[in-house]
Amino acid sequence: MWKLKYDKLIDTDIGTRVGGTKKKIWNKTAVQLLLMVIPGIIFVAIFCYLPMFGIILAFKDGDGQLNVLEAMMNTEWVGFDNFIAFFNDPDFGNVMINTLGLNSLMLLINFPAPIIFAILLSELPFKRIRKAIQTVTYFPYFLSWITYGGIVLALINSDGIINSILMSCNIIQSPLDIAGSPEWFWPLIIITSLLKGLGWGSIIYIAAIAGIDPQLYEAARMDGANRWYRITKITIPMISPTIVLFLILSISGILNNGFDQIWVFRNLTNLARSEVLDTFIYQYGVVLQNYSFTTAVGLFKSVISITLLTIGNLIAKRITGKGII
Amino acid sequence: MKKIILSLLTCGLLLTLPSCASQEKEVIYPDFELTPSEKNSWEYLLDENGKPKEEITIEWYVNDSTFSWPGYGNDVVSKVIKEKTGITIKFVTPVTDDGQKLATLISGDALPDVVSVQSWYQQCSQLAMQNYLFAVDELMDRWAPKMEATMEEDLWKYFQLGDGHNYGFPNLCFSNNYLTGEQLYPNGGILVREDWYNEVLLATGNDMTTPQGFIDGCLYIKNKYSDSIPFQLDAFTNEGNKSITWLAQYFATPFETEEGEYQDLRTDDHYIQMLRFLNECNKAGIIRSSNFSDTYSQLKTNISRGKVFVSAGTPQDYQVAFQNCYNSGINYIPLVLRNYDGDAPVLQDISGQGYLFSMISTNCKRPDIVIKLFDYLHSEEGQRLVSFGIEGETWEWTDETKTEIKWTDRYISGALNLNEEDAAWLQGYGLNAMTLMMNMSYIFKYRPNEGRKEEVVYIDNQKRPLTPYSYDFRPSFLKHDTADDNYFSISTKAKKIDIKWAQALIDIIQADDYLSEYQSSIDYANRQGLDEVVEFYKKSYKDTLAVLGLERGYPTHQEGYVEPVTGPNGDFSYWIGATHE
Repeated sequence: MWKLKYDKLIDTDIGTRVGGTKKKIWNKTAVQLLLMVIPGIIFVAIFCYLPMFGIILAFKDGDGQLNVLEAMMNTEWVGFDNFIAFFNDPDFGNVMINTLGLNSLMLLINFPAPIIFAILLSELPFKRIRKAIQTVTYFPYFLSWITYGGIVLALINSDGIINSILMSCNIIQSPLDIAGSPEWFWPLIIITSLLKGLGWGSIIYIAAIAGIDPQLYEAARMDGANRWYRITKITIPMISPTIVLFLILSISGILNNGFDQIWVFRNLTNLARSEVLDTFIYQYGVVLQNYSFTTAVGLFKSVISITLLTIGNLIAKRITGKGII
Repeated sequence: MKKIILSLLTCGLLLTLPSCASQEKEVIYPDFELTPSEKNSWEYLLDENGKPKEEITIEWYVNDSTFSWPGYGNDVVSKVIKEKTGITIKFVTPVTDDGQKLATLISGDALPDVVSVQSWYQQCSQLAMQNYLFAVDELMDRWAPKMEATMEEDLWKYFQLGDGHNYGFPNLCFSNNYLTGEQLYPNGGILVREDWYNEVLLATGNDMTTPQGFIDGCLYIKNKYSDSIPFQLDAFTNEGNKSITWLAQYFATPFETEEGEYQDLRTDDHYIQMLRFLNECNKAGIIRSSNFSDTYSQLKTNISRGKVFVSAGTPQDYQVAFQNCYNSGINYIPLVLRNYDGDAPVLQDISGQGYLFSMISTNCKRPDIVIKLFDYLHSEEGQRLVSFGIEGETWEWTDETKTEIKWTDRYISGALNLNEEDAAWLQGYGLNAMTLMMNMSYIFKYRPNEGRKEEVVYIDNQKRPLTPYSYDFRPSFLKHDTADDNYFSISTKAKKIDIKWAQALIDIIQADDYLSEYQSSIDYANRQGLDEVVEFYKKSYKDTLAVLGLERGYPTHQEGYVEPVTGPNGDFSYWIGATHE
């Protein structure tokens, strides 16, 4: 019923606005809207499309050049050599395992967490408590990773409060070296990222839940549906377009780890689990001035992301009938 | 509509493409009037009334986040520099020391007028070879003709590139011109907490100069003081670990073969001995596991709290922490640790290769004036201004021969905090803030010993007892042929190997079988091209020895080397300005 209403609304909307004739498109409002869009188009063209010419660096021998433009223009073409160098790099396997492993776990744990949190919040009957929880959980999002990471590192330090508590409770006998152990790195990233982004990530779902027609819940309640049924049969299906959209975007970003966060917690002792594509690119590309090599790795990342985005979209369309492209 | 937007976008992008095409950079020296050589070059910047003819502002990028000149513009030193040259300097520093800011400035061709970069960074020579810099000798010929004669020949030759030009000036260097023949103290050192060390001596009778004695001593402290950190190493970073660099010297690891050829330290038996020692220390539990991930600030805090028994590292990096300890009655003294064969340590002295290398970029619009600023700062007059102040105000010559200086009473009163007004006056003077052209050997030669607070005297003397073991290591700072086609690929390989080695060090120290871990790391380095790097470096080493006029570079391979004999804590007669109790 809801779907029918929605589809009708969309059809009507398009009908009134587009309405058929081309003349109507160029009315005063349309021109104003177009003018408002122009700065955005210029921004995208300059900062998103223009740098794409830099892709040619991936096929040139620009390593060691100091100036990027010179590396692009005054160097020899080398075909796929930079890609081959990356695939043959001894760190390739480890870097890919860490990137994919960490992101897959983040997708499994950190993606559903804000949805669950939003649903739980929306079920809370006390408005004030709900607001308070929202405010508290939003706060960490506004701290930079440097500040937030610094606080976390101080807490988990061998002299830090967490080790002190665990030792005083006799849970551990000697301090845990959380920041310096590879086996702790993934849990550390997942937990800190969850704590930092949970509140903020739930906003969009809270908004989606708020947009659900309350009559649906009332009808369900009258039909004897308990809370669990109302969540699984109304809330989740109604916010599923939003969930699908963000899921597809998350899947396409599976090779992006969020450089800041990794860089803050990364050190030489946890490198076996902390070296991901982003840090690898920075360390061996930017710092060592291997611009061509870096561009090749970046391009590889983009190709994988676009492929995943397309596949994710296709699957979503097949299963739910909704996609983003 | 879609078609219109798409066409506009495509046209826009295509139009911008040709503008991206760039030609190789070319160095063009501007056509300003040449400067005569009758007077010092900076004196030509002033008119007949002694006022600057022109006032300009330059940007000076310093690639060190810790560099700051907080009183610039208000203190005496900066005002005098401006009065003498008409130049206002706007300093720019990075927020962090990860090289990102420098990389961005270079890749965007946005270098400011002057850039100061760590002298061992390959960017120094790369910038020169890719025409981002003015050759300073060319600038001197045109606009500071008397300057080249004042350059210290040894340093000038050492920093000359393969094209025969010099592209900058190093700071904190020690030229032979000013050395008095007195041995310099070492750059790094092992320091032990004196009161605990005495306890170990009493309890075990062991002076801790042997590897086993060292471990036993640390274990004694660990067991006695549960909160102590028996043995603290420097921070482990991608650039390696300074403690391990200094420990390799304590273990007398030569950078030269018996035949006088360059060798990679990591392949030498003494280095492997040092790794064995660290591995044994770790197994004995005297190195905390968090030491491998702790940052500098955490290590500093540990020292400040007096928790550290032995600190192996670069004491000057932890000056404030050691001063805090001193003020709490905790002293640190050096230790002469020897390798398993009982050889004497062979330590690098502080002369090194300087720290920051200041270069004038081709983006500088007024190189004719900037080179005069450099001439002034490099001159003895400039050196005295930034380090000692103004003659008559803070210092004066002891006699007419002008070979020795002494502080004025007001300076001493201010420096020792005897009078609040004098202390405030001295604080606003700006002494020792402009370190970018500092010539340490000149300053060491002339700086009077009085007028220092007790804790400063203590810090200055901390490593001096190790002086008998300290030598000039300049041959180990290789002078590469940057014009060689392979230079960049070799240097990238070397850096990659070094980064991997920095990571491998932790695995070796923590390994059950350190030798097999070491072997796999060396195998990895070989697969990454260590042999090629060593071959290239062998040639660089020969060139370096030639520039320094030496046949052999490693101290124990040089004629006349005699193994020093001192007590377990060095020779305290080297304390200057104080006596060690």
